[in-house]
Amino acid sequence: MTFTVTHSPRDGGGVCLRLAGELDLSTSGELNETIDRLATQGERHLLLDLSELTFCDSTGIAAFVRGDNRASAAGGWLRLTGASGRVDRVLQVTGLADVLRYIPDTMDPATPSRP
Amino acid sequence: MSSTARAPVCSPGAARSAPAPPPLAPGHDQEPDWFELVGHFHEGLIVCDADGVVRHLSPVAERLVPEVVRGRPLVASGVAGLGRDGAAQFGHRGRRLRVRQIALAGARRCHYVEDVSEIVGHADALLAERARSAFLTMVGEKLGNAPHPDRAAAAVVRLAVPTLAEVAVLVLAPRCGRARWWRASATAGGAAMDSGASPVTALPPAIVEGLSGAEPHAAERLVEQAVAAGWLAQSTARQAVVRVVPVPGRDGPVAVLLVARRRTFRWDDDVELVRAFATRAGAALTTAVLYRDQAELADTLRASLLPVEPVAVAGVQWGTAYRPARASVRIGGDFYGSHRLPGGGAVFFLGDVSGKGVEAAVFTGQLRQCLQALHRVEANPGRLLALLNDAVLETDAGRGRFATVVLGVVHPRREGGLRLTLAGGGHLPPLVLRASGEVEAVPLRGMLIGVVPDPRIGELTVQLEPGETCLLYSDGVTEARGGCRGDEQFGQERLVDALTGCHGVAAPVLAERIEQLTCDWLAHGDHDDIAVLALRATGAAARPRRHLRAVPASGGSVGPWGTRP
Repeated sequence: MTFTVTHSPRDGGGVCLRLAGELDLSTSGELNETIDRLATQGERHLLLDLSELTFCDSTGIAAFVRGDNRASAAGGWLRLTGASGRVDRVLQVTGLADVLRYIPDTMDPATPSRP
Repeated sequence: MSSTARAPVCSPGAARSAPAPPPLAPGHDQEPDWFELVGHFHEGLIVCDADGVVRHLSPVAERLVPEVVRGRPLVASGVAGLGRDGAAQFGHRGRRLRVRQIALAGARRCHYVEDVSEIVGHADALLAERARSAFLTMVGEKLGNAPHPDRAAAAVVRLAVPTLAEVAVLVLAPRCGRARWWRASATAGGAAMDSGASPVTALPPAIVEGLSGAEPHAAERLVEQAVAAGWLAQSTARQAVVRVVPVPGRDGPVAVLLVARRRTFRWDDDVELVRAFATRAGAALTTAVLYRDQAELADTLRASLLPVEPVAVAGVQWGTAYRPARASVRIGGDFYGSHRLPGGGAVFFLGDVSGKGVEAAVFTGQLRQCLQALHRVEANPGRLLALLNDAVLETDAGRGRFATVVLGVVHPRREGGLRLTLAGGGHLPPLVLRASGEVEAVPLRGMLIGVVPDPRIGELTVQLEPGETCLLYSDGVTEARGGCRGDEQFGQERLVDALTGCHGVAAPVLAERIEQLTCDWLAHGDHDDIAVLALRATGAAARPRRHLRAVPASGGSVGPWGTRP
């Protein structure tokens, strides 16, 4: 039931946040705080690595959407990568997998191609 | 007093035998002048001989009862309180006197007379003050808990009688041009109560004046007005005194209190008490009015935020379940509903919004209202969801709220059964209970509503044969945590397992059963909002169709799913 979020600078700018454990009502506040803190520090490009995340509910989805809204307002973006299993399924069901997909080849993934 | 007693001790004789300061005990030869001493007592002394003739009279006694004359019989003074059977305390010349008689040697008697006016006055004032505070405290306590203005108003007049008045009338500040009033009248056994209403235009002028915050004074006119209003009987009017005081509220008077009493009533003493009473009544009424207004507001808002049961549609049996996470507010972030389409059939939906509690519930209300309006201009499920998406993006700019929704249109088929066209807005895909007993997950996809412009919305068609059911549910069902470990999710697999073979179950029973399964799994733990919407295609040969509400499963003899309809 534990949740941790750590972050480190990425090569070429931006921050990578590593999420591990379960992201739900009781832990999504921690993610929101981290995103807010980074935004206050001027970080506009956030890549969330979900490969260690085992669960994500609607409040986690809300945290992703909120973070992307905030980054977009500052001219940046929030993207997700590494989701698998149940977390990937939630992202597929909600359609966020498409909206917040990280495409490394694209220079600016803020406008991913959509069908 | 002590200096008077010591003075004779310091005589030249005594000083000669003892040059040191004199001893406290006086010498025998220096008997003090007792009558001089008693002249300084608070009590006056009257000493009578065996025949009742006054022999000694102290200056204090002369002052208190000047009728008593030395050398004449005491009874000749005519002061009743000094007689042999006189009262221990009596009024005389505007004073309160206390007297005690002591028998002396030789059948003589001494009357000790004391002026206790001041002491009695203090005690009376203290008792009166204590009674007033006790009354006001009692009033405060009794009025404190009235949750409704009507009950508070009735309590106010009931408490005013008989302490404050023989007739008490409370007129509440008018609402919508009418003023309601409550009256209590003293009777032999207690008080009679009645109430009524009056148009503002027919209120007595003194009440109107009181409602404006002023305290009307013309006493005679007040009695007339109370009689004219029917509050005071003509027969008692001649002896009545009426007082009208505003009952203070938050912004001006919340009511006006009219009290009537016999003329013997001392207004100067008690009008302050009436005002203090009105202040407490005002506090209680203000709270009750505020509470009523808030309760009305909350009820109205809550009613508008609760899901409405689906509309009756030919060939469709609906089943619903709704359990908000916060049971105390009875509303939550899940929603469902349906509307009849102008061209036949109906649109139905179930969804979940981001956020929790009241804020989420308000958002569900906005989405439901949007859909209510939009379904009149767009009957295609995918395009309807796209319109909803635009509406949310437009009205929710920057707040980051979104919803997951499954929305469908249902049409009865000519050959029996139903045709559903479903559109997915990022919500859990519906399940279909086939006639074979199998449970299918509908491969419906789509994007959250309210996140991006022009979202990808999945759309597909599902055919339901008679007896087959399509089930929409929120993630409060599958994400319920419980089980043996206490933190295990219920999950879609368990749900599918539980539903397999349940194709014969009526939609309302099915919906309730899913709610029950979820709550059993939770084992009283916290849970998210739970919503279920089930559509069952009724059989071609079914009895007259109607929308059944969820009914509890019957006893074990008919199995865990209850009876078939």
